[in-house]
Amino acid sequence: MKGGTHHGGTNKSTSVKFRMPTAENLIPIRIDVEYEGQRFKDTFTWNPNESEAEITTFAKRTVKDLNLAVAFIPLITQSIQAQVNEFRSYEGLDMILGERVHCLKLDLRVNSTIIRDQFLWDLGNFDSDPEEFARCLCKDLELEDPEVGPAVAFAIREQLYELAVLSVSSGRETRISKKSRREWALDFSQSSKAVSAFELMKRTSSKSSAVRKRNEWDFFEPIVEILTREEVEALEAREERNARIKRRQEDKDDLYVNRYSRER
Amino acid sequence: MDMMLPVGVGGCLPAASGGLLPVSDTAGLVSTSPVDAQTNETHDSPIKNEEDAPESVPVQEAPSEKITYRIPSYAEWFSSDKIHFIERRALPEFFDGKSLSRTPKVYKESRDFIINKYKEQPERALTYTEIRKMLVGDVNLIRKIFDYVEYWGLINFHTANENKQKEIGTESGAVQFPTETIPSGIRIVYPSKILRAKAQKPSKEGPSGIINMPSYMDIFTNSNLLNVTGSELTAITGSQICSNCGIDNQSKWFENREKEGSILCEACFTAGDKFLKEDFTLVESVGGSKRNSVWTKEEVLSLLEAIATHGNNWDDVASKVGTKSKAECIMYFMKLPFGDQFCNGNVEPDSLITSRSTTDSLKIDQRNTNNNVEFVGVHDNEELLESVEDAEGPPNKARRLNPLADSSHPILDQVAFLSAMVGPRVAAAAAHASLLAISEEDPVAAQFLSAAQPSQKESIQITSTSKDNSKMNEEQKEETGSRNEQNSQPLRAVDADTTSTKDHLPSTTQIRAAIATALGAVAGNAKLLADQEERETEHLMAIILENQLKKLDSKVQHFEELEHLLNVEHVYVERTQTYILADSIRFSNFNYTSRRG
Repeated sequence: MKGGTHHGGTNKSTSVKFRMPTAENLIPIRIDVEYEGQRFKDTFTWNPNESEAEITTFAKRTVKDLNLAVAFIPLITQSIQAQVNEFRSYEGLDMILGERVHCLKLDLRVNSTIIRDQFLWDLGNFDSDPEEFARCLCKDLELEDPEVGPAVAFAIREQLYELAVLSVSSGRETRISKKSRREWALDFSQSSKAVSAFELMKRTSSKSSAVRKRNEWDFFEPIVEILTREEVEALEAREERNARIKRRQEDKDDLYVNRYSRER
Repeated sequence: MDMMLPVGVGGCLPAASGGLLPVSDTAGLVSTSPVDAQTNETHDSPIKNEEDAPESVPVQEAPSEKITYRIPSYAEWFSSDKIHFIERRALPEFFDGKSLSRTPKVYKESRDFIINKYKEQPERALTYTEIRKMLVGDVNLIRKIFDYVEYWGLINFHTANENKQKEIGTESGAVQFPTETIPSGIRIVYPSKILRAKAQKPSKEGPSGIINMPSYMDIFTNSNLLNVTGSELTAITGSQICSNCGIDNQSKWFENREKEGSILCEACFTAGDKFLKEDFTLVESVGGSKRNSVWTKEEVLSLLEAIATHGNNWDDVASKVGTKSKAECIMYFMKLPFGDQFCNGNVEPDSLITSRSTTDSLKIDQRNTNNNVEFVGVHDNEELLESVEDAEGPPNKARRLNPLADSSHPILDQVAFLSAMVGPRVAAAAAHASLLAISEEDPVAAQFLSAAQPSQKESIQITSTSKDNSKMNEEQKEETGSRNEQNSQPLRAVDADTTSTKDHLPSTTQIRAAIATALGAVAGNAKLLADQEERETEHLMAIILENQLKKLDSKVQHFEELEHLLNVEHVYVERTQTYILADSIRFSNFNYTSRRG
């Protein structure tokens, strides 16, 4: 990745340069690094205006707090740095202003809680606050696990980030990694359908109501499932297996891609 | 007592309908209707208002049917059939018109939906996540609406207050609506105290007016004057009870512009950020309790005395009068006849009162003279002419005024005052014309006048000795009295008044003539002023035209300058072009030659 030449600090009121379409310009960072069989996975949000030195400090601190091997420090730093740089590479681009309502979907498991949800989110609304939304959701659903809220907020941010990137990267080579593209492909197709349907509804019938049709309520209702410990273990095992298969496939993909590009 | 009220499609009563019923202590109004809670629709159904709802029935006791929908008193601006300014201000994104899907309609729909949803089960707190699935749109916006509605207590107020309610007891700022079933978007929002106050005079109330958003200027410029609605209210309630803290405010209070009867004391107004301050007007009660506009004789007298002693210090004057406010004193003094004279001179209040009574008779007199229609037809005043004679030649205004000012006859006073405003020639002409007109109309008067006149008919001055005058007057009076039945009471009173004075005994004709003269003089004066004004206007117009011309001139000059500059530029550019061309030719030549070489 190229180094970030654009400096941050896009102002919400005056500029329409690329940024997170939320009130706080925090980008989602997902870390998944492995060192000698030890795996470190984490998700958090990062302020891209933070100085570079902060990343190293953060990595050192994390490693120390979690008693990880010192070798993790450069791995974590690189991972964060790469993702921040990716964000910065978009920062010079203009964002499309105006209302873009997308259907966001949640389907995640946090410890023993599975939460599935679907809702409309306006990408053009720079006042939106995923964290507050998630907090409200947890409060209303009386979810006690303190990790659920941040996870939901992160999932929302991740989707928003991808959507935002997608919206600016038309006419420019898409930089989404293959992995994430594969992961989100399904959702994108669905969400775009939802948007068009929504737009259509708005345009065609002037009598359209802000109230959703009764038979659609269930689709937009959050569903929460609390798993038992056995179920969690079984699920984790399956996920682990799937992840391994996936990784193997990816490696194969990369191999093909490399061979193909070399041939050219 | 049950009342049947038709309710509009919006399914709500106008806010001010609180005035429709006298209400007992704490019980609020009730609006109940059989509503299909499942479909959540509003019907055009007649609404039953249960006024005598059992006031002591709290929610807990009322088993299942009676559920209370309450909203806090500070949210009483809310009305489900319109969007209040507070809402517009708090959620501007719906009202800036920039979006297709964020419209006031969508806002209102969502808001009403949320509120209705809550009303379906008001005993249960409504959550955002629950609402979210039922509304189409950006979840962030929906949350904004939800938070807003919850913040103002339009939903979940009941549940939030449940515990508080138990502690405090029945005394709370909330309005209670015991209902039989779910209300379909119906609510009434008067704190009970206000309702009580208003109940004493229900006829005063109507539906609250159009939204009126005054600026701060309005509020503070009005602060000195008595607010009419405020005074009305005082008359009704006798005292101002703050709807927030319940304290009886004596001197100052703030009144809600939109909902009359909603009153805040000063402390609550300054402290309260829940209220939209623009909605409230400062009302200052002014001193006394009696606020009838009728002035008694004693009051008038004390007013005049006070003015004599204190002059323009109206605060002192008002305090001396005691029973009237400052504004009322000023207003009344303005309305008094001869106000100007009293300001300068030393006039007894007694004569003032007589002069007032004579103004009345003057009016009647004018009617009797049956308008010698055109004011241009000017009339005469012997008194005036006499004075002119006394002065030997045209006197200056002050002198002319003085002898007449002595006259105890009030009409003549006024005539003198009016005629003093115009020049002597104008007055004379007016007098002459009025004589002619009266003569035409009334042969008897003509006789009388011609008898008085012949000596100096051509000249402006008309003489008549006071003796002659009085004789003629008596004659004239008898004649007119026998002939004219219509010159009835007030006129006679005037006559009696005047005859009692010894020197001058003006007759009806004389009075008529005097009035006519005065009018004529005024007309003449007006004409003069009009002419002057016209000249002034013309002059100003000329100045304007001149300036316009100057402006045009300078513009033209500017343009010429610009043109010149442009020309210079053009020449320069041309020259440069030539140079460049020459250069390029030279360059290509050089290239060519060098390549060859």
